[in-house]
Amino acid sequence: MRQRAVLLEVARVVMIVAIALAISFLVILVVSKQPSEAFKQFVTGAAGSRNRVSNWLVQATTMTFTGLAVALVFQARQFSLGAEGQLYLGALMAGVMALHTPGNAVIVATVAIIVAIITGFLFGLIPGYLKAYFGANEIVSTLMLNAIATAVYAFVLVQFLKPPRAGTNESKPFAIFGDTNRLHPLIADTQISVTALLAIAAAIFVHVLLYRTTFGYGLRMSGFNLRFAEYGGVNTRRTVMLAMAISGGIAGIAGAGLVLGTFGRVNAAPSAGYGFDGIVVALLARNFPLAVIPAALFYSYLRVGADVMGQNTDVPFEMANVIQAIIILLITAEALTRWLRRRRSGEDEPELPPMSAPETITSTATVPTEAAG
Amino acid sequence: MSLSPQSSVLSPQSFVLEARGITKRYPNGVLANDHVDFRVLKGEIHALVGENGAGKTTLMKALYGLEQPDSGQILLDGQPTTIPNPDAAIRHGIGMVHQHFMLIPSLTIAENIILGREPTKRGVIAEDDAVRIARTLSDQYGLHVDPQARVDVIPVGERQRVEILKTLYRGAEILILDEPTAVLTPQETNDLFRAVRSLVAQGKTVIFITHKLREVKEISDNVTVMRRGKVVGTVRTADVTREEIARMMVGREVLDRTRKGAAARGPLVLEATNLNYVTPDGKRALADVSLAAYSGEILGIAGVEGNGQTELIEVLAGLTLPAAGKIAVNGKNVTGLGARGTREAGVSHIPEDRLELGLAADASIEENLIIDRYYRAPYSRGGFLNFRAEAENARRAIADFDVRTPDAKMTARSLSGGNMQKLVVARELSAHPNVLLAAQPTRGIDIGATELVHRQLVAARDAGTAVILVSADLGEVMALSDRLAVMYNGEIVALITDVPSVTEEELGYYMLGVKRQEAVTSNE
Repeated sequence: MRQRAVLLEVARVVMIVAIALAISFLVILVVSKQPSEAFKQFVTGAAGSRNRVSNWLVQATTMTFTGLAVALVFQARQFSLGAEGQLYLGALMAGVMALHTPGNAVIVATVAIIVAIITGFLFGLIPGYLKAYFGANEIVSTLMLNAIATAVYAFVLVQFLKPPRAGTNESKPFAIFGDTNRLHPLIADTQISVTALLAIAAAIFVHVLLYRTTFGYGLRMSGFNLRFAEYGGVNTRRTVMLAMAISGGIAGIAGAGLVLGTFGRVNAAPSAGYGFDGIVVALLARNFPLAVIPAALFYSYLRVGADVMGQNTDVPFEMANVIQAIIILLITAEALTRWLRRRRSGEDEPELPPMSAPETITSTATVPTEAAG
Repeated sequence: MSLSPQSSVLSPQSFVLEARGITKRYPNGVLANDHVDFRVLKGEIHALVGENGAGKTTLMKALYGLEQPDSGQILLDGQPTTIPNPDAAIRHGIGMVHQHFMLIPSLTIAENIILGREPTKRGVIAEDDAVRIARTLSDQYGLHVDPQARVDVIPVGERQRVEILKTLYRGAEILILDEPTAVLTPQETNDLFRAVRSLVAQGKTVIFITHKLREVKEISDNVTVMRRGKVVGTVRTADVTREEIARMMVGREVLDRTRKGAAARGPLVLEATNLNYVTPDGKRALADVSLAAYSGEILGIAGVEGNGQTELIEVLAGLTLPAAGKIAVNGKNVTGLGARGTREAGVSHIPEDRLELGLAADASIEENLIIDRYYRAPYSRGGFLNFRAEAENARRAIADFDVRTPDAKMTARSLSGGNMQKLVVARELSAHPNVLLAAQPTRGIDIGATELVHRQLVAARDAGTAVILVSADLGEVMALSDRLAVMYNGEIVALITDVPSVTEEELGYYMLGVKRQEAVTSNE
């Protein structure tokens, strides 16, 4: 019974991906003068060379982190979009640590990653707290905090990290990591670093947290039905707040991984929208943490393939965005129809929280007595 | 006397409506209607009864054009007809009054009646005409309403009359009333019955869906009984007793009343003093409510829905903070402790809305059964879930409370309504509470499940639990309660200590606020 349900989910996702690919192929057919070459580059590009494979796996690593961050808050049915900002601040703080911490490379890297986690955690705590205790809409607050995070990142970079009179907006390379300025690669001549292993560990961590701990139980129940969780005695405010904070910590590692493992310095823009790619990955993985890894591998493969296609043919790189848009559209449309069907059969699930509902404490003296005598 | 299952006592000549061999299978495989034959004579009141899930609603949806049957035929005045949508049904003179009213609260009664078919003068809605139309219809059928009153300020009984007038305005000859008395007081029910008789006297036909057998006997000419998607039979109401109809519905003998012994009242367990609560939209839902619940006793709370019962239970359960007042359990103040603190003081809660509060429909049955205890040993071991304890807990609950499911790892959504309620009851009673708050514990569930829930409530009482039972079903609270409080407008207006001696009529007066006891004290 359960296996059937899992198979059904997989089949749904595969179908959605197939439809998205079919539509994008149609678009390629229309816009390209060399469609067969474009197809080929798109589908095989990411595996084309050591360099591209490295690029693919690095992106997959980053998307695993952001995908996990998003999946975790989605399971609590919080539509937090803050991974991008958390990634930026994680990257910034990891970079600062790598530039200024004394000690050997291993210690510096460890400290940098831990500081990135704490930074993301605290930055995720803000919208979590606002949501849990003031009912602030997390979509709005996280998007605004993203803008703040990128601005803070740019400010600190330009004001404090950039060497004076440097021509580009970036810090000095991380000398602590030797010639490459980067974390030691797991595979020679690639940028695949220990963060890839951390990504796998993070997926296992989130899985255990969600499905094996009492905290995860409370979180999932809050996501299924917030009022039920409250009724049962779950501290839903604390749970929601912590879910968003932990999610921020995971997104913070993504930022650390990018500056430490890929760029070797604090550069102008570490993320190419990975925080938002995390949403697609989480949707593809149906918010199952262990499924985030294959989803991230798949989606980053398409991304890199589209890149290669953009460089070598007349089809622009934006094709990847078309696919992303179609996937989001199909998955949300499907979720929407399921929700509507349920609604129509009278099993309306309450929209997010009455959690923000104020505990109206009104003095009885101010209320006119209207009861009949 | 015996009933042949397919006894058809109706003469064939003048069926105003006839359904032949209606079959409907839903995409999820449920066979909701299985070759259903249903015939209604012109000018009769025809009761349609059956347990939840018997297929009544599906049949009515087919007649009203909301569902298309897979096979079968609908005849109106002997002519085969297809009814693709409700518009067509209305054109054919079929009107339906739903259980949940479909009125616009901010409009007047007259405006609601004409909505969708407005009388106009030069393209502008003619308000005068609307009021006149409403008044004429209202007088003609004895359905008294004030056409100029806004719908949001009128009582439920009047809203229902507006719904009926709306269908009449649209030319309904056949009216389908879907459980119309579920929300009414006894007095309002009497008014409704008078109106229904007046409709029939003027040539209309009424199909009356209900599960209250007393009403079937009182109002209907003929009754069709459905069970598991099939018609068990159609009989002349005068020829059968309530017990016989019940047996047709369930397919076996039913105990009409839950047997319970005398209460052995123990010590005071829960004491609420001067509870006050004002809803966020400013309604004073609880006005100085005080009550006491004793071990070994069922305290019933009767009242028309919306008179503060929901708020009272939520306040007692720790889900809502009262504006003023105090709640003590076994002498310990639990006010403001929240849901978990209140539960830890031994208060369990069967909520009135299973899907909104009582369950996470997409979580597994096992998971639904530990929401109140997952953080404690043995379910938690150092913050990690103990799956074995979780499974064992579910196994016990399923066995003790007869929850019918092939697998406790399936979602709660996969259960039928009655089994969902058993799941909630199982969880709440397996906590062995000092106090059990039971709000509408049998709403919408079938007779079998109702019997089980009633037995469990009495068993909990006999084991020393203080049970507080809120129900809109007057028969239920009267049968189960050892003491009975009546709520009206956020207050307790009566407390009956000798429940068997009180009549429904008298309770009705309290429920309507016409009468109240002087100096109600609930602490005796």
